[in-house]
Amino acid sequence: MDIRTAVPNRHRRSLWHKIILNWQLYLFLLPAFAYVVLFQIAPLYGLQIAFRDYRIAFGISGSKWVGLKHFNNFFNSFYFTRLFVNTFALNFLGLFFYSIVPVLLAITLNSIINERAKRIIQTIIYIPHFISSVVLAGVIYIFFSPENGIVNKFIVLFGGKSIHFMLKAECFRPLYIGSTLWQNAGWDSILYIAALTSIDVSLYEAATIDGATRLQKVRYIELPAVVPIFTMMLILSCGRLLGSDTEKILLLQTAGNSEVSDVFGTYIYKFGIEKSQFSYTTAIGLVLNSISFVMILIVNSITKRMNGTQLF
Amino acid sequence: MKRIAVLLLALVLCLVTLTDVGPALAEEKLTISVMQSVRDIDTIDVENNWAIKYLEEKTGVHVAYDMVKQSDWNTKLTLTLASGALPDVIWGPGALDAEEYGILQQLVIPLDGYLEECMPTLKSRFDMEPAATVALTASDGHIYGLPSYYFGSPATPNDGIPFIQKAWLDALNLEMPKTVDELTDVLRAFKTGDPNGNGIADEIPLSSTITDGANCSIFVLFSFWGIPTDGRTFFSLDEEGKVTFDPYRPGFRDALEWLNLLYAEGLMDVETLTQDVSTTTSKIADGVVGLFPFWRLTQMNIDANLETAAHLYGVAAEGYTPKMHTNLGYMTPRIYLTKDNQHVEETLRWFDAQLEKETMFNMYCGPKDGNWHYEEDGSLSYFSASGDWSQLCLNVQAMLNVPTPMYAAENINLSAAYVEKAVYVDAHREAGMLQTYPNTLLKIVPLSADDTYEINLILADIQTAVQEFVSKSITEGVTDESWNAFMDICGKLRVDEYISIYQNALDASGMI
Amino acid sequence: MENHKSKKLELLLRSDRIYHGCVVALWVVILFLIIYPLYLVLIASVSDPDAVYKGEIMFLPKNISWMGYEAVFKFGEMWNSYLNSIFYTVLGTMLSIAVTMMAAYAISRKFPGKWFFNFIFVLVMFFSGGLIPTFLILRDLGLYNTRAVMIINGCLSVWNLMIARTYIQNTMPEEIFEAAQIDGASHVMYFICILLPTCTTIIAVLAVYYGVGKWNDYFTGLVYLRDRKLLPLQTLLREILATLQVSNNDFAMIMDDYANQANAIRTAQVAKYCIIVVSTGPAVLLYVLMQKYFVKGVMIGSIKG
Repeated sequence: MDIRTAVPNRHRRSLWHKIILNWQLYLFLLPAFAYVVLFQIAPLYGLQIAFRDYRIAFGISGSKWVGLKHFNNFFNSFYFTRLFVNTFALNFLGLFFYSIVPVLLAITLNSIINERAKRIIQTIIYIPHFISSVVLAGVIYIFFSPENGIVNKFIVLFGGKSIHFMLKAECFRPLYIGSTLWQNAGWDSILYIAALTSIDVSLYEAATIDGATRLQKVRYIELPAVVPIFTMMLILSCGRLLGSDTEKILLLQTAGNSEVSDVFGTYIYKFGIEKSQFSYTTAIGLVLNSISFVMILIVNSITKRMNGTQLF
Repeated sequence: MKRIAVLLLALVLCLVTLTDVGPALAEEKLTISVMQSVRDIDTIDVENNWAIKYLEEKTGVHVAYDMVKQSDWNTKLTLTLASGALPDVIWGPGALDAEEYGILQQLVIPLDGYLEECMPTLKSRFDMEPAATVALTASDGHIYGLPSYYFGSPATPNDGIPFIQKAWLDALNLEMPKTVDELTDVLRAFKTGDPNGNGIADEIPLSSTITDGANCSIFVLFSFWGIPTDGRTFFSLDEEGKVTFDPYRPGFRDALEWLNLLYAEGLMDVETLTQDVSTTTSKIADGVVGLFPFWRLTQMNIDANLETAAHLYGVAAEGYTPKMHTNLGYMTPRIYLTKDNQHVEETLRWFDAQLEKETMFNMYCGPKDGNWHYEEDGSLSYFSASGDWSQLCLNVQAMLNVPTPMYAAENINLSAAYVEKAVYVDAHREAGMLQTYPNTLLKIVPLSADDTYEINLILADIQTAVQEFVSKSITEGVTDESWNAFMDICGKLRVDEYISIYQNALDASGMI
Repeated sequence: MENHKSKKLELLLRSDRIYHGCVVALWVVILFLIIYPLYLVLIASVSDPDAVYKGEIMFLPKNISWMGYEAVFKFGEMWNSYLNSIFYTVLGTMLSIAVTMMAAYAISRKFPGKWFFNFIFVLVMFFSGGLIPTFLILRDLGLYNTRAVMIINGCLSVWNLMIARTYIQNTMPEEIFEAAQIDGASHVMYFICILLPTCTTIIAVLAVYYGVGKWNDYFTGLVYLRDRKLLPLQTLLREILATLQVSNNDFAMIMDDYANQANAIRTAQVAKYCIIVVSTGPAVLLYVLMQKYFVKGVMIGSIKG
């Protein structure tokens, strides 16, 4: 509560007055806001490409208006339902793991007694983030190869039959989610590690005195410290349920698993890069983004009611 | 510690700003700007490149190059066109859609009016072989793009051929198979007979991919059933010149069933369905693969184990006449002048100068008696520049050369690689096993902008459906049920509409 | 950071011993899962690409060849690009942190119009005009082919902004703010003297997030730069990798030159591992430096006092 405005009701400051009082805040916002307006809001006029037949030479406003033609084509396309299910299922399932595993990593890491080990491990788990998708996909192909892959060699060793992982549709989601976790869990845990190091030491001391077990400390001290950020990340992630790491999916996609791995991202890629269908891809993008935006609004109002954390 | 860091940072900042762009050259000569595409593996040092300097001296025209890597080409071209700052010349890795950019948007200008006056060499080449100019004319009768054509004999199949390890056949005392059944027996023998004689059963009878179009891919084998599929769009031209959908052709199902048989018996490399070309190539290079569709044998950088392989052709499936795909030797337009070009005639003369015979080879191979020279009989032999040639010449994609097949035949000793493929084509043609109408016609027939939009929409889904069905059929086999379901899907994917669009375009173009 | 002594005390409780045992076991497994593939990437960068394909590389490199590193370092331009990347990353990160922290602080406070700003920020997270309009605007602002565009582009990530705001809201108790106000401090003074020193952790996190993002960014350079002297490292290195995505168009496998092309592809197969090794180094360094800021800020004393 701002003391300067906390006066008894009768003398409620006017709106204008409040603005003047907080003029410095507006100044603080200025660079960020200017950037956003110039580089992200201004280009939004380009969204109308979705409603036109964009031809470069005619410019955006010169191109013919076609209304909802591209949207119709999109919704009526043969694989639309499959694309939607694949995209949503992949991300929803993934969301579960991507949000929880980093927290687990951070909390268990925080329990490690040896400080030096802790710091070294912290650095190590952060490195997989730099392994690009191209290399990671290459490594996956090698590890899971039906003839020479390590994984299959193990399976055969224990009497099983070699599995062609890259071909089977049911292996795609675990492979994708697993590899994404491998790449990013350590990276994402940075934030939580930071939050945990900010916890007041005296809380731990008090808890020890009270005879709390380690697990109880986790539950009553560490988790509450992490929950606000966790919730925020969750909300933000809900806005990405229709997106995908297209590059990685394309690398892991084979004709055998495409019934599961074909997602909106790969569909757009086929049209964007290879066929330069700007209007069509813009229309698809607009649909997906709008849905994501609505989803975030919904999730936001839920969390607002639940624990007060909100996006806006 | 902190101070050292700050000092270092300041040093970096200074270094960086000092290495900024140097002063621009002030030129008296005519300067044209060329947006040039180069292959990803090429980085051409424009300042020091011998061929560029040579050309500038010869023609007196200074060129401001904007070299763009092929993989970035689409993005950069779009942005350049959108920004309105057009270069004088666009020299791409492929054709620009003349309908779109020439006729509709008028970003590039028609050039046929200048041919007589400014481009006599080019015109003489056109006159030598008018049929090869089929792809240059847009639907309004004008030529927008100047051709770039690489040396070669006309019907060189640009695509893959099945090869078999002859040494293995000899080791097992087998004849070259002439039917698919014989081939199957051969493959079985390869698997069990240890033909490479090393005591280990490491032979892979057949290894390939399904993602490489019609090059190093399993789809090359469909020619045994008379289906010269391109393995990518899955539409081809039948013997009457009609557009057909490959799965609709008789034999497609049988081909799939055969592949499934191979898969089930362990005669096909399981990874065929997931591996890419590089992996396949390295297996072939190891000498463990018996039958492999591939591009050619010579000059592939893995000569050692390919010396013992031989071209396999004439294998017929029962009841079918084999048909191998063929390519059309035609000139593809690649060089366009934009509407902002202020020196059209000079630019065209500049191009024309590059067509003179010795100039061409200087540009393509480097200085005389380096990578190219005259034989005693006066004919010309050349090698493609290898090693670090980026200082020496503008290789392939950066070049304009229009010898036309006839010219090439008269004047140039084609490299072994070309000769090799020409031999295969001739063998097929003599046996009546060559496709009459090349699939490439479908690539070059002009389509209206609306048609292109529809085609793109339809094709993406068709490709997905076919690839999935092929993969599933190979691993699990084809049943009446699965086949009918697939046919059903194809109907729903508007295959017939696609066919009729192309058929109409083809009929209207007069190419057949 | 927990008190070392209090942790030692924990081992006295039996359930804690079990807990710690599980934690150690878990981390052993995790570390193996992480380190082994990383180790593989390292040895693959010096091995023969064919051996790599066939999965023959398990513990030791095979046919040691440095051709991948040669390919990467032979780019004379590479050293220049390295410098460029350092330049862009350092300046860009500093700018990003400044902009983000200021904005995060602002929207963590209550003031008229806050809802509007929040809404705009969230809106742009989802909707974008696309490459062409953005390109045109940047060009009209005179930023095409300048160093400035590399630094300014991406200077604010709304995702990071929201995280920073959440952090501030949860770490800075309201009492401190009120105490500062009573002492007559303005927003600016509060920000500089109290908030920033206390929030070193989130600043360190932002430094890592933005820093790595800038370091890894190849796309901005690709689209907005023309002079090769201005290119950052990743855009340059990507040219080696692009060979691997050679698409199936007619010109990809030009007849005569296939040998060269095949060679290039082979080199690229190895080079992709080398590129990772080369570009990861600085990023790890950055993190190690930032780690020491992951400590409790100076605030605790002030509350108790």
